[in-house]
Amino acid sequence: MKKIQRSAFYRLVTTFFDVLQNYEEGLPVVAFRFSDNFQETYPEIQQKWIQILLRAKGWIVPNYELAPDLEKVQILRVVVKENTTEAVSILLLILLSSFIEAVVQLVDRLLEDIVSDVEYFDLCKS
Amino acid sequence: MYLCVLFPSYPLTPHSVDGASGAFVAPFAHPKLLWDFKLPRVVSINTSGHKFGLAYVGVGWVVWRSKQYLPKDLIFELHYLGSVEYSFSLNFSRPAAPIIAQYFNFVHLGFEGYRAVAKDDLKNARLLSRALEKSGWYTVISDIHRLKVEDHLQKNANNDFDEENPEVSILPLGNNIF
Repeated sequence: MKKIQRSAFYRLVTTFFDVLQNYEEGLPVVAFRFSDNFQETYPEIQQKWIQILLRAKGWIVPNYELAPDLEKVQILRVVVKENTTEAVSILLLILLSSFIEAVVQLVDRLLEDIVSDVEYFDLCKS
Repeated sequence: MYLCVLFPSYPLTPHSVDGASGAFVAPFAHPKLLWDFKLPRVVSINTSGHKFGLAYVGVGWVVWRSKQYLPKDLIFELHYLGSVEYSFSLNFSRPAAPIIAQYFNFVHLGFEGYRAVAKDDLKNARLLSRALEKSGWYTVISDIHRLKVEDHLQKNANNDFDEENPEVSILPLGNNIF
């Protein structure tokens, strides 16, 4: 490709990038937290549960508070090493989403029960 | 880096860089990044051989720009069996296995090998980041999956950047194709 680019005979129309230089520099580390939207919808669900659930499956993904002034922000952190292949990353994603789905389902059902209890209580009173 | 840019005429205070795990990623993934001996005031760098150095726990590195910056107090002098032995280490006696593993990987992988590993790591980290962000449940705080602001891909994000296939893109050519 570079040879075509340098030659005077042709003009290159497409280019494949050395993609790395297009991205922000950094370590292969992913730091993430529950989105604002999710936290507002489910304030009952604690982010540290994800750490505990992953630990039960043999993954060590720490959940911790950031440094002072940002101590209210909790992050989960994954270090991507040479043995974290694409398949392993996808496995982690499946776990991360299935845990959330399970916990959301549980919380929804509990909230439903509470609501129906309150309705029943109101019905008894009247 | 900022010190060097902001105060270029400031007397050269010698600096030591704590490379931690990053010093085994940056030189291979981002060789143009200014953080190392390319900056005149950096005289020593330390880094972990385990983690991204790809060796076992038990090997770490300190590299000096030249012998003159290594404090003499740190060199242990042993007068033994009629000769003088100089040794510089944190522990006097320790297993060599992690160092041999490191040596093997240096020879076996070389610069290109370490670069390939760093590129792979970062690619998988981007995959993870993008999937987490798209799930809606998570917000990603790290920036390695974000395109540089000054990058032309970002400027032309609407035209050329293929969200579904973000690792490959086409140069914005406009009217200059023919």
